Amino acid sequence: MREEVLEKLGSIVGRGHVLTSKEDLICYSYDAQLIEGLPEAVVEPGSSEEVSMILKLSNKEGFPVVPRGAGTGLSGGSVAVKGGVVLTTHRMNKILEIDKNDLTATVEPGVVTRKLCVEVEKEGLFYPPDPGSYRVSTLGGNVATNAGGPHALKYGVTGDYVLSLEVVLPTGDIITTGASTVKSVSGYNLNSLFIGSEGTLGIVTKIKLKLLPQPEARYTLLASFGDLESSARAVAEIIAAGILPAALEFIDRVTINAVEDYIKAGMPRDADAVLLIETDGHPVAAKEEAEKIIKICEKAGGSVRFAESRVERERLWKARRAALPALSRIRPTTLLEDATVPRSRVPDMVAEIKRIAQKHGVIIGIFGHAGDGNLHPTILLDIRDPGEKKRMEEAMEEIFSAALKLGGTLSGEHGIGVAKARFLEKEVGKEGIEVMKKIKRALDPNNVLNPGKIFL
Amino acid sequence: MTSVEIEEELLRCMRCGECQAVCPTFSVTGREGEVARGKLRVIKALFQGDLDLDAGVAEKLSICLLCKACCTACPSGVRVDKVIAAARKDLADRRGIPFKKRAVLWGLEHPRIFSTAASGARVLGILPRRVSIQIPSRDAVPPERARVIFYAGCMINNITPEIGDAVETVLEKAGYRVERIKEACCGIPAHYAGLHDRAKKLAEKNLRKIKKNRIVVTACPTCAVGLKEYPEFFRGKLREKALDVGRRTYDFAEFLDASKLGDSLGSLNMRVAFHDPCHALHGLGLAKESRSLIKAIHGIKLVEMEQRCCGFGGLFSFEHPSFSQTINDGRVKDIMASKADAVVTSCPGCKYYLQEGIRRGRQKTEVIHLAELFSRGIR
Ligand SMILES: Cc1cc2nc3c(=O)[nH]c(=O)nc-3n(C[C@H](O)[C@H](O)[C@H](O)COP(=O)(O)OP(=O)(O)OC[C@H]3O[C@@H](n4cnc5c(N)ncnc54)[C@H](O)[C@@H]3O)c2cc1C
Ligand code: SF4
Ligand code: SF4
Repeated sequence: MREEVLEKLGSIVGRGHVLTSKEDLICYSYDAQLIEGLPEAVVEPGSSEEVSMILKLSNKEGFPVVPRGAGTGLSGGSVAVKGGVVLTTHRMNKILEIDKNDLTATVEPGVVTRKLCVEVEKEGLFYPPDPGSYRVSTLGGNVATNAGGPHALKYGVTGDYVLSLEVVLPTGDIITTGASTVKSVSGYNLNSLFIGSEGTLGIVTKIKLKLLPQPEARYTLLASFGDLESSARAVAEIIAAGILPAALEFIDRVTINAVEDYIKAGMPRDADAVLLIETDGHPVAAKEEAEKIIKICEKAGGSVRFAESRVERERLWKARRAALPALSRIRPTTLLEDATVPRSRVPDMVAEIKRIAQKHGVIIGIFGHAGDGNLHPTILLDIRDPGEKKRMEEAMEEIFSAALKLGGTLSGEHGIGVAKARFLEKEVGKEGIEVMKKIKRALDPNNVLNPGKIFL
Repeated sequence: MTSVEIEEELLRCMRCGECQAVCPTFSVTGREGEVARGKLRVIKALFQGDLDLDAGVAEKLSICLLCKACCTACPSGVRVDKVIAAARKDLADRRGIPFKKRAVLWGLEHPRIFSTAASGARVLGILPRRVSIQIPSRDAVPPERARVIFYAGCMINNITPEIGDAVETVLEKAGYRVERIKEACCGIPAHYAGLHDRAKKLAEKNLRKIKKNRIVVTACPTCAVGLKEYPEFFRGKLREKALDVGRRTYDFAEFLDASKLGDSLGSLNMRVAFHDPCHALHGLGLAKESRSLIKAIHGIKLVEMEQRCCGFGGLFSFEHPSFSQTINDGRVKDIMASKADAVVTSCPGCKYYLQEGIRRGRQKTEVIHLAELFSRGIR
């Protein structure tokens, strides 16, 4: 990047907020996936206006701009694969308002998800979207990837809470989408255009989110099953009974054993599947639901552990949360995927993944959100071994195909980014990609914003 | 740490970014270069020859308190502390260490000069402290009447001697015979600055001074961690001794059994907040111990604060005063919000630095070491 351009960037954000040393650039060359790309500079704007000026400059000078929140993305979305500048949002990290009357929060994009959860909880309110990375991910990143977590089954994903966005378009114009109201049908729903757009259509600089009142009570239980089919039957029957648990999480045998080796959570090692289920809401209703669920699980052949206390509840969640850490300790490299299928197909998908693992001789642990069919097949390997790496890639490809064949999608949570761009056409077809490209071209005529992502 | 071991650790980082949630230096700037994940990536680049060990890289590697919070938080269990210490050793071997840092270390190891300088205006936001790993586990706490060595360490000997007095008073009341040795610095400041050989020399000195089969009690978690890390330096006989000393080294908070004070323990009417020293929490795995001790004193109301580093980091506060003070300011804010009459901690470094911060913020809250709380509680 030319010295002159760097100077211009410096005059926009302040010299101290343009990083160019090799060691700094290396620190912004990755996210939580394996893909890497070295940016030519890192800029740290402090306001929407500065973001706008950076984009105007990029159109004039022709360098790519790659938005980045916490860099916990799992698709290479915030990696500068075509060079240019990485634009970080960490300086825009204020919670601007928590409105207890309207039940809304207005935040800047760099606010860490957990921070918002904690602050609204102090007011007796609840912000449900809880991706596994919520302790560090940013709300801007959550909007751009439409992140969801265990709460998604009952409460939905980030996009379901977005009321309005301030977005800096690739050309540098600043627009506000949506409205402050829960209902709004004025024109196209532009919120949804930017939600999940992985930083390719605009940079989110302000977010107005819907909040809920804190549920009064929570009940948590752990059900273990000797075989996959009975766990699947239980899931299907819970949903068929009209119960929408606040969480319905699945852990397979490989993962159960990894977790037991790691923290001894007291899960049965010989179980084929474990479900962690939580109900919440009015104390009486939530309890009744929990009791119904226990009956259903037992009828399906499961044995149930009910959390009597907050401490016990924490312990059960600890087992679920330990899934990834426990798996990641087994082999040097951990690759977390998120192919998603309709929830009735979860057992088929699990069986497919197991078959694929066996065929390619790789270890795959499976856990995830049984309630919404979003599984996390996690491949464990040593990436230094070229043979193993190749087998991993083949296995991955087959997993994606299997998900699509079962009527599923490539990514329930993590997005396409670079990692899955190759596979997108399989899911949305040529025409689907063409529509997306048209939208991209209309908004970003010079292709400066996060190029090289989603479509190849 | 061998290069193969370092490589294994580097590979084990799955880049999830969880360390961002706990890293004190990251909390100041929000920059990737200031968190474990970024540092590990930089070290990897050094390893692969993509990066030269120049001043910029040295600076990057120095922005870390080696507080070990990331080691506790890391889902993959990456020993970030070990990797950074090893990288700093490499750096020191190849480039030496900055004059300022060398000067402070020298002062540390020559206590007379050091303490004069320190008392002459507490200039040195510099003191040692440092971190470590829990290598040897611990034996069960021995019965009373045993003879114990109180290893005070540089901070207590030179800056906060009142803590040493309190430790002796309390342990004696609990039925122990307390012995002092003329210990050398535990070596952590040198070790974590990359001066491996120097740290090793200090370790050897201390190991020779600690008699066989003696219990060692510290009131500085950093020293305890330092002593427990000695096996890393040696092979053969000295390693055996180091392992043995490590197993018999206890932090005051885990060693004291309040019931042994019996009736001599009175009551104290105060609201206190407890500040967890990073090395107690992440180096020794101690948290419950101090709290149950505090609760054993009648009349005390204990309030909890979120866990956060005090910002000291020994040499770190000297090398990066602005980072250090920003972290410290955050902690002082927590303390003020807790509305406690006093903050209790179990580390002389934390005590010293929290006092500095409270004074800078023109506040009055008292900071006392756990041992001092007990010596006050004793009738
Ligand atoms: C351990 C672990 C667990 C995870 N669990 C989940 C989970 O349960 N559910 C889930 O959905 N995801 C999960 N993820 C993936 C990831 O955390 C989410 O995608 C998260 O939303 C990314 O947020 P971030 O701030 O880190 O964004 P980044 O990784 O920095 O960026 C992600 C994408 O958003 C874009 N972007 C960032 N900020 C902006 C902005 N202000 N405006 C426009 N575009 C922007 C980037 O360009 C990039 O394309 C997990 C990741 C890890 C490492
Ligand atoms: S928490 Fe551990 S694995 Fe995750 S990025 Fe930090 S050092 Fe790497
Ligand atoms: S040791 Fe402490 S300061 Fe250093 S990287 Fe880890 S958390 Fe950050």
